[in-house]
Amino acid sequence: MLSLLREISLRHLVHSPLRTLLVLFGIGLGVAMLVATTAVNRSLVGAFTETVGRVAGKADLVVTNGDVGVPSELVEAILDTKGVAHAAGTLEVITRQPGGDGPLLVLGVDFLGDRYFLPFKSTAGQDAVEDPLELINDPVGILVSRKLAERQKLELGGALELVTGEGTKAFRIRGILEDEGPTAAFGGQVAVMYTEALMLSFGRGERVDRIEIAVAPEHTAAAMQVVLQKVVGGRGRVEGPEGRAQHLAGILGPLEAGIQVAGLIALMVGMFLIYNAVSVAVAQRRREIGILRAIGVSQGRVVLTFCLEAGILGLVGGLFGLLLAHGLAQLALDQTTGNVSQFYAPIQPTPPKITLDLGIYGVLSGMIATLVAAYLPARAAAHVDPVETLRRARSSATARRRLPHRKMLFAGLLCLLPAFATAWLGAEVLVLGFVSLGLFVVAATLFVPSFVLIFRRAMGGIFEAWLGVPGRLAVDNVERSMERSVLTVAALMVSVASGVCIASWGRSLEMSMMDWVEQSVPADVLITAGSPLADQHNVPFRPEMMERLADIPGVDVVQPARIINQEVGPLRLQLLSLNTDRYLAQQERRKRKLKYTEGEVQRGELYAEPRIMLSENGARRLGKHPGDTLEIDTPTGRHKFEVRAIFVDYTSDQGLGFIDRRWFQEYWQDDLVDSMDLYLKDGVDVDQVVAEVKRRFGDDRALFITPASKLREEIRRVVTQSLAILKSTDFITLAVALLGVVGTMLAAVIDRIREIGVLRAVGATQRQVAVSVVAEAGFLGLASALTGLFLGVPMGLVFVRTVALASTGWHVDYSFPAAAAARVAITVVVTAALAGLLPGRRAARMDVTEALSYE
Amino acid sequence: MIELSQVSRTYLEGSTPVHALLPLDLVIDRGSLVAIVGPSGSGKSTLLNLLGALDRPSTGSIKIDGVELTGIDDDARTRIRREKIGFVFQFFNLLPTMTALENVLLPAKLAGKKDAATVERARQILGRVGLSQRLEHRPDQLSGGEMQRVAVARALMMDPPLVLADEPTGNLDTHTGQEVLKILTSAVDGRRTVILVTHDPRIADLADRVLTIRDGAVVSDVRTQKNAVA
Repeated sequence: MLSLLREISLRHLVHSPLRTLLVLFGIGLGVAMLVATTAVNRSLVGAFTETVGRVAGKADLVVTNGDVGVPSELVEAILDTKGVAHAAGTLEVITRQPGGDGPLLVLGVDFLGDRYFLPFKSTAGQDAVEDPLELINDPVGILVSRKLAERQKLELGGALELVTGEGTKAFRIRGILEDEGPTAAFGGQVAVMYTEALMLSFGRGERVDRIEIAVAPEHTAAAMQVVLQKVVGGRGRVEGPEGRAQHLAGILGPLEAGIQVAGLIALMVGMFLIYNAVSVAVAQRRREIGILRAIGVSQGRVVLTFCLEAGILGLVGGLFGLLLAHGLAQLALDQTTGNVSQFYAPIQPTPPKITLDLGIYGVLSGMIATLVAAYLPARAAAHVDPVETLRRARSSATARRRLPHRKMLFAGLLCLLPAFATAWLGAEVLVLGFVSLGLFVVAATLFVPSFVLIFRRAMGGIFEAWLGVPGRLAVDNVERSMERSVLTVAALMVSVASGVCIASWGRSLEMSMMDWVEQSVPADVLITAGSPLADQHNVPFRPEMMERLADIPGVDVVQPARIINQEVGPLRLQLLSLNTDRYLAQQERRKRKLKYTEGEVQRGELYAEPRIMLSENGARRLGKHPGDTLEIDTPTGRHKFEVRAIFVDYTSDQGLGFIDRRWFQEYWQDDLVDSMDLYLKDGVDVDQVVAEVKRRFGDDRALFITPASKLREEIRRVVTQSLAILKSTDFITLAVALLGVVGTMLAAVIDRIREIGVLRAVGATQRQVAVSVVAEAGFLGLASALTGLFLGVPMGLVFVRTVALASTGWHVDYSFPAAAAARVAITVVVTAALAGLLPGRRAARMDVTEALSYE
Repeated sequence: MIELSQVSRTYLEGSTPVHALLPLDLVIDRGSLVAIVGPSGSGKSTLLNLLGALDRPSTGSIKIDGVELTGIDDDARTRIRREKIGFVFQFFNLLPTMTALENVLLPAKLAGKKDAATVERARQILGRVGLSQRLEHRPDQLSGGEMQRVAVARALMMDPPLVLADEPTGNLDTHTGQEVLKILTSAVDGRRTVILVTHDPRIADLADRVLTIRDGAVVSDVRTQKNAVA
């Protein structure tokens, strides 16, 4: 068996370098996608875990309460609880350096309190940690990580400028910390301050982000969790550090699922490439197989030889894929990190690692995919008739193979039933959404043979009229090699449909968001610091800023908006607090209206009593309706809010709660402002006001001043950014599919060598031969583009109405992405035709006498 | 008229040169039926390929009706093949997706001719070879003899001065072979030359001239009295 492999298969691999490289590249890309997506997922989840458990290395339990934090006085109460060995509060602030390009994490540590959790070691300015009095007495004293110091050439005694709630402020560097523990987190973009100094500089009040607790040896963490939850009451949530990490990581579930599915699709498309390559090998070696069969090689051995050959390619391609995977993962991670940081939690993931288990997983997946894909053509090889192949073919017409296209069409129609049923039944179940998408793909694939036949008949005359004999031959050959044509079209179709599907989501989301922004954000100018949107990276303002902005000529009203992450039951709800009467008055003035799905809010209602409006996704997840009560843990304890209305909102995929600022200030003891929304007097020039705000505050506060018109652009940018990772995986799938077209056309050329010789003999020019190959590839591209567009519509609908709804809870109106679809379709047709150039050139340059004597 | 002057063909098998055709001088007059005979591997097909502008000689020059074949580019050679040479192969080599009529029209269409007169000519030629009832049949619906007759019709479509046939009856039974041969010999006229490569001495007997090739060299060149096929 091995001798057959060594003597025959390996020689062919070496002697057909183009085919071998094509397969290796195809498998490599598929495996790289699969491994890279897994590595990215691990990095993201790891970064979440690290983000949550930065100083939780020694902690058994952690007390948290979303972005609001927990009152620092709770530390004493917890320390007094029997069974608690250590407890310390930690504060974290994400800020930026003016002109700096990335977020920076500032940890607040109580150097005078329980130092059990203090995990720092300094390399310079050692006193700052060992004898912290000097640091504590300096309200602008700060310690920086070694990585940060080296990156920015910071020195002891030097200054570090940071954006604070009161503008840019210079901090004095009093120590440089070793990159370990929390200082190694967040990509080393870490600084440490004394908690109270940090509270003061960033206006964080008397609250810490979390309290770490170490349980005494004779007690269990589980038991103490119950005890401490009673002590903390509604002011926070007591849990194990890993529980919180898992909770946060769970938010990433849909993103992870999307990335993984994209990886699997790439591998499946890679399988098509392998199928093609092995088919080429079988076509090329038909005579050789006939000889082997004639001299006594069994069918089983022929199958095994081809499968082993494919397995070797799978192994080498898989290893090659691992080399690509790291770069690909880094690229994908860079794209995803911004997204996750902006929308979920600020993270700085470590570079993705291709670990041994991941490597084995990738290579094995590549090999299994290869073997599965190779099996059918290998079986076809085993069935080669030795008698038939050993005598010269009577006519290549005998090689024609037909697919049972009518049966396939019928099976496809049958598949549509469960596809629609799962889409309808599983409106909010992610798994059913994916099942529905899969069924649509299967149904469309089964329709492909019928479509290709009809399309070939419809286009035959057009291609012949346009390109003459080469055009006619191109479409004829598509039908002659139906199996191969169908596979190529199916693979490209899936790529096109995925592109259309993702674009549908982007377009639909963008359109719905635009409409929502139009109706729900009536302000003329929005001002934030540190980030263009009120998200995980912006630095909140002190409330005094409101008056200073109100002084600007032309400003009618300043609306303070505070938006925080608030844990409500299993959800991480975003809680928006506004001066609701002011907001609703401005809505009326500008004739805009929130889109309510249940109930409605009138002026004064949210102010008068603790009431809340919920976004429809949040309400659905919490199972709340108008009239229900929602209990929220705040720094002043658990408070009840009456649900007043449900409305359409796209701020957070987890859900949004909307309350009056009065209750936020009272219950949360927080008067910070994330976004200052300016309403201008009638007839005032927006640009003039923007210029004035910039003149007065811009340089000092790293402000983002966004006129309403620019907000649309910003939202468009955010939507595009959020789809970047999916789009890039889609691009790779397309690349693999196009490699498949090269493979298909190479196979087509090999199949028809003699025929090409005849054509050349009877007067076809090199150009005409090349054109027929390129036209065939273009035809396949065109058929793929059309089927892809047809498949893309139901896929887009299912994605928008099922998968995306289950992931985000957002009801988004479907909008067909005409421009993007046209772009994808044209790209596929053009690149498919281009993919035919190399095989076309090969066919054209074939030696005519050799081609004529080819057997 | 076909003129070969010191034409040779040497191939490389690996690094070993193989002399498929030794230097040869040859003149073939218009309007004759020439048979090239010889054992397998003697160089018959090599000579035919060179005459058909399918291959280039290693040395020497080939002229067809005064047109030099050596030293011209691929497009010019293609044009010569299309306009001046018709090919008939042992294995018919029809395009399987095209009907008999379309196969015959192929050289004309490749030359950009698709007018009604061209189509009519193709019909007439097919009628001449006895296939007027099989115009719309595809190769897999035709017998071997019918396929070869379509191939002959295709070779005659552009009315070339030279028809080259490589073992045209090699894949046919005796009776069908005779029919095909009859058509081929009838194609010879005052301005058209037909050159046949064959193993069959009975076919050679029909030729005006018989060239015997062995080990790449013409070992005999016999001009015979032309016989009509009964």
